[in-house]
Amino acid sequence: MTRLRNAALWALPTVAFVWIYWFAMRAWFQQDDFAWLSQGLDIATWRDLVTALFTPRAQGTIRPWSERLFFIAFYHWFGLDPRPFHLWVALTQVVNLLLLQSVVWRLTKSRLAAVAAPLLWMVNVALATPLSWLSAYNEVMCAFFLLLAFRLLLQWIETGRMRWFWLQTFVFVLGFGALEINIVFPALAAAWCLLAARRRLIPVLWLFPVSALYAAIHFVVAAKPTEGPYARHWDTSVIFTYLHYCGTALTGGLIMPHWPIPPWTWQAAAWPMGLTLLGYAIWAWRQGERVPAFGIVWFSIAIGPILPLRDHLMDYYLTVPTIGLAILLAVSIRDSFRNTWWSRLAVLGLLGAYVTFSLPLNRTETKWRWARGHRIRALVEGIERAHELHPKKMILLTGLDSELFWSGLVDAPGRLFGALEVYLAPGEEANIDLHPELGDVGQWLGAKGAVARALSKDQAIVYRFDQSVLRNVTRQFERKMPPEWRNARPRMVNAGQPAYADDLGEGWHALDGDWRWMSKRAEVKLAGPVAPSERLLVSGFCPESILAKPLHLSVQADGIPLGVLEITRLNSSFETTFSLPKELLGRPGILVELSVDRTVSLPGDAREMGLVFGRIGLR
Amino acid sequence: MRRIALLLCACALLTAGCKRRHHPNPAATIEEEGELASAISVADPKDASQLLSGFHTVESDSWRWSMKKFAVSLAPPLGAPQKGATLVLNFALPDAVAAKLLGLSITPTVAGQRIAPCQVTKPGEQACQFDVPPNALKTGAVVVEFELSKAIEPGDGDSRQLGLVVARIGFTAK
Repeated sequence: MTRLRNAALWALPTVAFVWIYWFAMRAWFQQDDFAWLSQGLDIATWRDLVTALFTPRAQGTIRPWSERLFFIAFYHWFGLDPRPFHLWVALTQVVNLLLLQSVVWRLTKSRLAAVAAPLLWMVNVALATPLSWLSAYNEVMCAFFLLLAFRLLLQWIETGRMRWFWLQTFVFVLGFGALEINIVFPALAAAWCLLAARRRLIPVLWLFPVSALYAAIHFVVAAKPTEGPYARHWDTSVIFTYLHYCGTALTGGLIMPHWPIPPWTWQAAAWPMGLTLLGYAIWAWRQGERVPAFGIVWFSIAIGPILPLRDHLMDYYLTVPTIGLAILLAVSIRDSFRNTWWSRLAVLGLLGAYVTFSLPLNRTETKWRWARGHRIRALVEGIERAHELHPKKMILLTGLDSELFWSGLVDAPGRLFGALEVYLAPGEEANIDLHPELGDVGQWLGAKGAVARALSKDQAIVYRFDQSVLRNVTRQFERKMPPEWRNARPRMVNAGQPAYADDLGEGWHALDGDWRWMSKRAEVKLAGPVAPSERLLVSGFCPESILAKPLHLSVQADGIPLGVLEITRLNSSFETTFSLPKELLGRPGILVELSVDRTVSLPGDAREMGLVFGRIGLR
Repeated sequence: MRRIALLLCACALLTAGCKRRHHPNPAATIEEEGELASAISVADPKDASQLLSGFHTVESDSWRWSMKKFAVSLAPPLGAPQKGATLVLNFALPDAVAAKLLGLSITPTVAGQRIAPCQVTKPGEQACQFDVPPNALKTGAVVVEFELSKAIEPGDGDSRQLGLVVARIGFTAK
């Protein structure tokens, strides 16, 4: 009977997990997922795989297990079926829950606290995103490595056998492949040793150089933005950011619009809750109990690395820190049962408030992501089907709202099945909110002239998004298309796409797949700039094999020189902008002239080659 | 433990060679644009593709508020290129807005040709008929635009621009 009860207690968090995250585990791909899924498209050799796994990406991150291998392998095996992905995430999280239960059992020897900790961690709003959005799997995986390494640390402390120490070190080092936050493990381990096992402290200190080495590598490869959401602010704002995250961890950081309470209630409730917990930890410390203090230390250490991100407050950053909160709350339950009725009442109130604030938010967020996934699936599957039916045509979309555009189209899901020419139909940009931090809507907007000409030549197809399906509305779209579009010049030209062929002047060779070579001199016809801030963007490529010496690209607009770009092996793939003189402002159209100081002839090709393009246009 | 590890390795090796077989979902698009109708019910989802502009969302499953200008695409009825057709607009002027809109005129433009207007002189459900000449109905699909002389501007208890409560628009053959 005892064994059965123990088994039930171990299984309880998993059952609760399935109930709470039922919707999360069925959410379709969205946002960055498509960029990660498409990583495997360029892998042909083992060397490509290694490059894909370890090359720094987005803000210089290197997360080979959680973002690279996870998406590359699962997409290779299962394609656009999110269920195996979610199953893997769920399995990782179930292991996390078991590990946390085991850790708290070791720390407290209380069955009640050991069961309560994973349950309390799970209801936190911090876990809603990592468990419903596959791109945030790194948080779940990082928690796995930290919890496993910490569990091994406890094993080593208890037994004194060095194999556990080395195993812990191995797991810790592997953890860097999940998420940068893994860097905090030596501090967590040292903190526990300081609090409860000082004789084990010295060997643990040797973990710090590993983190320092990782920090040095990360400092070299990672982007260091000075503005925007990822800019780091080393000032007093870290205190307010810390307090914000404390509040969010305790009460969710948000009041649902339909709740009949003021929006500031979460902050008002977080203060007394936080102070009560702090008071409890101090009281427990005086009683010789170190685990509550360790819960606070875990939270504070784990949140530390993201505190300088003042302008990028994300609830899922709390995934690992809230393990500390869960430990603190779980131990408070145990202690309340050992004390007076009023302490039980206080803890009951505390837990009641915590669950009442967090759980509904958690469920709402996972349901929202699940529902959004349905719409994104309809859009992406529609694009895939449209591309299958009309493989050579430009696909134009109407009826997308802002949310669907930013979560379902911007990360180019079409790349996964070769649909590279997918655009919003002209005029649809009016339905899209601007988010410069996420991207440029103009990049996804079909140019009026190119669209009109493509439609007249049967090179384009128009679909309207009808919530669950893409409906072909090409004829309807053509009927109401203003005739002046045919003569409209584009603001941006993609020389590698046939729809823009009429916007290219002299000097271009025929299309080579998705790109086009210029000869020594080439022309592009663009709309004139309308704002003084606009610049001319030029992006292209030159094979490194012909860059033994630098090549110079000169750019003119309506005969006015804009500048010269030197292309070397360091910038063989280039994207640059040139400022535009005031006299071009307001002109209905401009003629951009590109010329190179030398050309090459490729083996077996007699043509005079300059550079490969690429997008050319106004930004 | 070793057995489990071996089993996992075997599974990994077996699955590593497998590659997905994926086929696009054939129901993910609707390709048939359908025959363009000569008459449409503005609340009917199957006719929604013929609403071009100037309509608000469907209400009570039977009608939509229009804006001051609204447009639809219609197929001319049989024989229209020779005989012309009658354009019929079924609408209602609710009592709630009659005080502000009564006396408004509705001016249609068919394929760019302006048609003689119709004046609304009473509230309630009604229809306006317009005589459309044959030369406006030569193509397989025509754009029919309506312009009202008055509309309720946003702000008066409603953030929308409101014109008429439109139920149906269509040609009838002569």
